Amino acid sequence: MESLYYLTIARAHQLLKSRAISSVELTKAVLKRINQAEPKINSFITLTADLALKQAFRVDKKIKNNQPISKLAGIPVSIKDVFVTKNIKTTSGSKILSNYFPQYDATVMQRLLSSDAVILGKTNQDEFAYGFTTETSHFKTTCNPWDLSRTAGGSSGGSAASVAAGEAIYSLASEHYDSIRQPAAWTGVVGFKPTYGLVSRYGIIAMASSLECPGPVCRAVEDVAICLEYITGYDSHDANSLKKTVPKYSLDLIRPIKNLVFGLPKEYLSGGIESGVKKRVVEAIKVLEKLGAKIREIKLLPAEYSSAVYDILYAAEVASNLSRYDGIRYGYRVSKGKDLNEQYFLNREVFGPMIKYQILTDLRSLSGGEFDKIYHQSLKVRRLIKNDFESVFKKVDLIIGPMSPCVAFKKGFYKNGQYLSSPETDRLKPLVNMYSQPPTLVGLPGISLPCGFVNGLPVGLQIYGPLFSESKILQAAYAYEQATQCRKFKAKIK
Amino acid sequence: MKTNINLADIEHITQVYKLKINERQKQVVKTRLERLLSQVKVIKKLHKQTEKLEEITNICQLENVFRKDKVKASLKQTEVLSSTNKTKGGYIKTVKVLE
Repeated sequence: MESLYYLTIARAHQLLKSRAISSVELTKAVLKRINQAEPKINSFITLTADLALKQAFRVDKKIKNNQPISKLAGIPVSIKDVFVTKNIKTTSGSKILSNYFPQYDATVMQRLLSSDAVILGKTNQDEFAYGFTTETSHFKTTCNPWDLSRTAGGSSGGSAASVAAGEAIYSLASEHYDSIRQPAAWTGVVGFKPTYGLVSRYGIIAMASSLECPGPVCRAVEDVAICLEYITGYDSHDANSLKKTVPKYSLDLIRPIKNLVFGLPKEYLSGGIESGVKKRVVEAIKVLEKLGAKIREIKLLPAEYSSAVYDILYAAEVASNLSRYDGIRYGYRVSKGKDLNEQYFLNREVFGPMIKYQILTDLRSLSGGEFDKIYHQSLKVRRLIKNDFESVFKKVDLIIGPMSPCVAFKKGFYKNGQYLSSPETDRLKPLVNMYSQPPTLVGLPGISLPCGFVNGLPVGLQIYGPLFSESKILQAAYAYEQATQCRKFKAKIK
Repeated sequence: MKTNINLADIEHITQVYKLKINERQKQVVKTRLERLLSQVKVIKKLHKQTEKLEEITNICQLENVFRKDKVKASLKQTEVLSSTNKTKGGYIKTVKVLE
């Protein structure tokens, strides 16, 4: 019998419906796996085992009574700690929220709960989702299940590692630009970022609001499709939420990709990309060609444009979002200050160094009178990037490339409150920015899915497309996944 | 935006935000600011290419609409106060505001 903790959502649902397994059995198997793996992996900040078993029990009762159940019912999920969860500790990886028990649920959490999902707990992340190795978390560093001396990526490292290690069937994560998909690539699982506005942001602990986007981390493309059907949809609590009919993504997966045209930006496979990663991506492209897809070389705007826009918008949004942590209404409170002024100082001391740097950098830049002009000009450059993508998508259906120019980093890349800088990272950084910042800045959806290994470490293939091209992306990813064995390998945790 | 960054400026900002950092950390902030300024230069260089373009304030082109002014259920006072560790008579208690 297959290990229950490595089931996909689709398979688990089938087994639950046919009563071959119960949700309590499945949940216990995953909890047992968490007990075994967690000391080595550190995926979770908070575990909610009792709650999970109660929810599982409830679903089993429904099945027993022949009541209809959703495709997510009774299936254990981990939730990134960036989402507020009613009466469940929510920290966003920061000490400043280490005692925060929210009074309400994020919309996506609410949607999972009303689908009878089984909530395992809250996963580790970089502090306020700022970072890419999960090492800036106040609580712990998440290790990569494929090699414990390496990081699981970030900021959603805990979510990705929990899925890769069999500590959850799937996970709910979030990203500003690659925080769902880069950890998914580094841990050999599938990560999906939907079109901005398709999935509600209500209840995400805010960092850079115009970029934030929730999305799932799963073991298979089909699971992503299923998950999207439940978390997508209009929410009056999110001013940027879109009124769109949610397609049945999972029923529309099997489509021949014979006529699809993929664009491949020439720059994606040049410069500092690791040769092993490049090889895997080139092989993946050949697989798609064999399936009948066409590959066309394309040219996008220089990546430095988006990088500049990204940094400036981020600067404007982060400082204002993080100014709310005064320790008075909620969050960590230092009680020894002699007056309010001193209390503010003492309280903000508990921010991690990276967050302090970001806040001060942002504030200093905002304080100059000219920033307003620069901000507005950045929004025009954002338009330039949008127009560029629109003209590219007249020639191609989707764009393909690596998710990350390298495999998972060794742990210890974050030291003394800073990420290390070396000639190697200087070569990689422009590529990291180039792969994900331009599409994210204009809200495009995208996926990362496993496309092989380099020295035993997973490599991710990225496919992204125009706004609302979720179905097409999933069809292409599904066709690739079915044509290869890549997703079938599981990490041996040593 | 001023283009020259000095440590006194950064010290000033730490006072404004009420966030203390040490001398080494101030240097880090200075480097980061310099990098941000170089990004500003990139944006400025694109002035001609973008001057006729419309800004994007919302990626998905949503328009502002008013929702109905309906009273909905809200959190109870006890719930609102449940996240703070010091309360008195239904209020949040802080340390003294004036010196």
